[in-house]
Amino acid sequence: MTDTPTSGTLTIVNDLGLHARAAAKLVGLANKFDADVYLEREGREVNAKSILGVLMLACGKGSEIGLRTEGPEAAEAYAAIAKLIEEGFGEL
Amino acid sequence: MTTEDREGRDVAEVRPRHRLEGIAASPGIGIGPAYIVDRGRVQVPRYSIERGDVREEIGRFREALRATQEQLEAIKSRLPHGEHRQILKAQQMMLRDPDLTGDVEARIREDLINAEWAMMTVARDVERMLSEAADEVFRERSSDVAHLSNRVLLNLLGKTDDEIDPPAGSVVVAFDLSPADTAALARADVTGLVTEVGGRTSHSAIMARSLEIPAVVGVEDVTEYVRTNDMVVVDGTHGHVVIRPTRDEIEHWQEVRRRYDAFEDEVQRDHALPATTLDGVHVVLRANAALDEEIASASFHGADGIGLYRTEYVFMGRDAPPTEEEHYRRAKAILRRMAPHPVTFRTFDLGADKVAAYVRGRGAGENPALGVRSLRLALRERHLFVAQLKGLLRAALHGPLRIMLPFVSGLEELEAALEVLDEAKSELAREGMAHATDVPVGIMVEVPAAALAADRLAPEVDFFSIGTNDLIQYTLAIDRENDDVGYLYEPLHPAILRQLRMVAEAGARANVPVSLCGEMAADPRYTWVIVGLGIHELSMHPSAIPVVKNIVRQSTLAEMEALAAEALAARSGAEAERRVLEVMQARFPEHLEHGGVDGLPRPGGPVPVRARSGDDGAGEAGQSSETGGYGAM
Repeated sequence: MTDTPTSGTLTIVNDLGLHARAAAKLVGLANKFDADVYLEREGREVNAKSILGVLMLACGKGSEIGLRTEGPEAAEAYAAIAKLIEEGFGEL
Repeated sequence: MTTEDREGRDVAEVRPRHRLEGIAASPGIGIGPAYIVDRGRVQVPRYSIERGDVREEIGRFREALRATQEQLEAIKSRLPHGEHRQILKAQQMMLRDPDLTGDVEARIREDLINAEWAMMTVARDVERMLSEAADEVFRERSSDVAHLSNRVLLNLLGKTDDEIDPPAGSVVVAFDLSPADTAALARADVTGLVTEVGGRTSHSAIMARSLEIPAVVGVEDVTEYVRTNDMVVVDGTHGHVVIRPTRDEIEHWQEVRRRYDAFEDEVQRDHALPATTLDGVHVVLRANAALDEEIASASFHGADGIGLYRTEYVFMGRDAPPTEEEHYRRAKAILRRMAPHPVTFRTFDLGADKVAAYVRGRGAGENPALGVRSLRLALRERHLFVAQLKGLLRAALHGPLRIMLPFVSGLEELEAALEVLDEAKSELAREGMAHATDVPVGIMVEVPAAALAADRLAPEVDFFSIGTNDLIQYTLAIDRENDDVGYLYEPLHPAILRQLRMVAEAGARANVPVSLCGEMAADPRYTWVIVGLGIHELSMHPSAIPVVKNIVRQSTLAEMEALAAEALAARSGAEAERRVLEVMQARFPEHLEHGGVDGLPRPGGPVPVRARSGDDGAGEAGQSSETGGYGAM
C-alpha cells in the first residue's frame, strides 16, 4: 500500500459552489470507482454517489468540506475527486 | 444591442433587461398579463397495500422511473446544449439516486403504502431540505425535485398529458409546449405566446399561427424573467418580448397593434375575391387546419377549401385510438362546414415529436425523425390506419373529400398504402356500409426521395402536395426543433428550388395537380417564387391567405416566373434569398413587414451567437457560464 491519502479537507473554489452541474459531475465521477465516497460539511456526512445528498450539503464558494473514501479504489477515487474540486469543476 | 426598431425610432427608454428577443413565430401584437405554464401538483392518492403486494408495488415504481427516464431523454434530445439540458441531466441522475429511489422503496416496503404516496412524501422531504439552504442556487434545485417527482407521479397514475388552462386575454409563457398543450391553447382565448425553445417551424409556432396568436419562440431564459401576471408585450411580427413595460411603452405598443390591425383589415377586405393574377391566371389558395377553430378561420379568410387537414391531433392526448365511427363523424362535420369546397385529409402523421400513448415508443429508434413515423407507423399499426380510412371513405359521401398520404418515400410504400385503402373499401362493402369509391388519393412530397422520384410516383396518384417543412429539414439535414441550426434553414437553397421545380414538372407532365403546403406558402416573400416555379396551388394557415391573395392579385405570372428563374439561377440559397427579398421588399414593403417574416433566421448569415439582448448582466454571469462540461462524466 502507498500512503496516498483517502481523507482530507478541501475548499470549494468555483463561484457557484457545488451547484447542480458541479454536483452532477462529482457524483458521476464518484460512481466510476469501486469505493464508498463520503462528503462532510459542518458535521453532516453524505454519500457522494447521491446527487441529492451532495446538493443538500449546499456548499457555496469557500465552503470547507471533508472528503473520505473507502474500499478497493479508495486512493484513486480520493485523488480524482480532490482534483476535480481543487480545479473548480473546470469552471475557473 | 440594437435600440432602434425597424423604422429607426429610438426605443432606448425601454428598460434593457426587460426586453428580450426571439424568433418571430406568429405575427401580430399581444399585450396582456403573463400566464406561466408550470405544471402544478397532481392529486396523489394514498392507500395501504398488503405485504404480499410489496414486490408488485415496487415493480410499478421502477417502471414509472424507467418511463420518466425515457421521457427526460426524449426531451433532452430535442434541446440545444445549455442550461436546461444540464438540469435535465441532473434530474436523470436524481432518478437513479439511491437517496431518492431507495427511500421510496423502503417506505413502500416498511409502511405498506402505495408508490405514489411514498414518492410524494420522500420528494417533499428532499424538497424541504433543499429549500432550507441559505444559498439561492441550492434552493432553486428544490423545484427540480418537485418537477421530477411530478413527472414520476404522472407516470405512476398513468396520466400522459396534463392540460393547461390559461385565462382569456393572457400571454402564455412557457419553457416549451407539447403539441397537446398547444391544442389546449385553441380552447382558451389567449393574446400571446412566448416559449424558450422551438424554432419558427416547431409545432408551437405552427399552432400559434394557425390560431392567430402572436408568438415569439426561442426566447432564452424568458421563464426566469417573467412572473405570473406581469404585463408582457409580444411582438410576433418582429420577435420582440417586453416584460413589465412602462405606461409609455404600453401606449407605444398599442399604437403598433393598431397599425398592424389596419393593414390586416385592408387585405382582409378583398378576401372573398378570387386569387387571380393581373394576366388572368388563377391561383388556388387553401387553408391548413387541424382544429375546429381553424375551419371557421379558413372560411373567414376566403380559403378555397382545406388543402391540408392534419388528423393526428385526434389521436393525441387520449388513452384509446379514435374509432372508425369517430373519424367518420368528424370528417363529415368538417366537410359540411367547408361545403362546397374540398377538404384534403392527411392520414395520421404520428411519431417523431407527435406521439399518442397507445403507440408510443414503438420503433421510434434513436432518431425518431428517421424512424417509424407517419405512414410507416400507419402501415405497421394497420388497424388504426384501416379505421381511419374506412371513416373517411364513408364521410366522402357528404362532400368533396380527398385523402392524402404523408411521408411517402417510394413506389412500394405507396402501393402498400393503396392496398390498405382497397382493404378498407372491401371491408366496408362486406359490412354493407355506404361509402365513396372514387375518392381522390394524393401524397405529400416531403421526403427528398419522393421529390426526386416524383415522375415515378405521378402516374399512381391524383395529386401532389409538397410539404416544404420536412423537405427542407431532410434535404438540408437540419432539425427543425433545434434553434441552434435555424440559421441553416434556407427555403431558397438550390437543392430545394430544384426539387420544387422537378415536382412541378413531373406533375404537369402527368396532369397531376401540384400544391405546396409548407410554412413557405404563408411567407409573402416566397409567393412569387413558388407560383413562378409552376406551383399554382398553395395551402397555408388561414390567416396568411389574405396577404398572399393580395400579392397574387397585384402581380402577373410573367414577373413571378422571371423571379423564380432568377432564384433558380442563383449560386446559393443566400444569394437567391437576397435577390428575392430585394424584389419583394421594393414591391410589397407592407406585406413583408406585417406578414411575419422579420424574425426568420437570415439564410447565409453568420452563425448566430445566442446572447440575451438587453441583459444588464448583473447577477447573471454565473448562469451564462453554464454550458458544456459534461464530457468528464
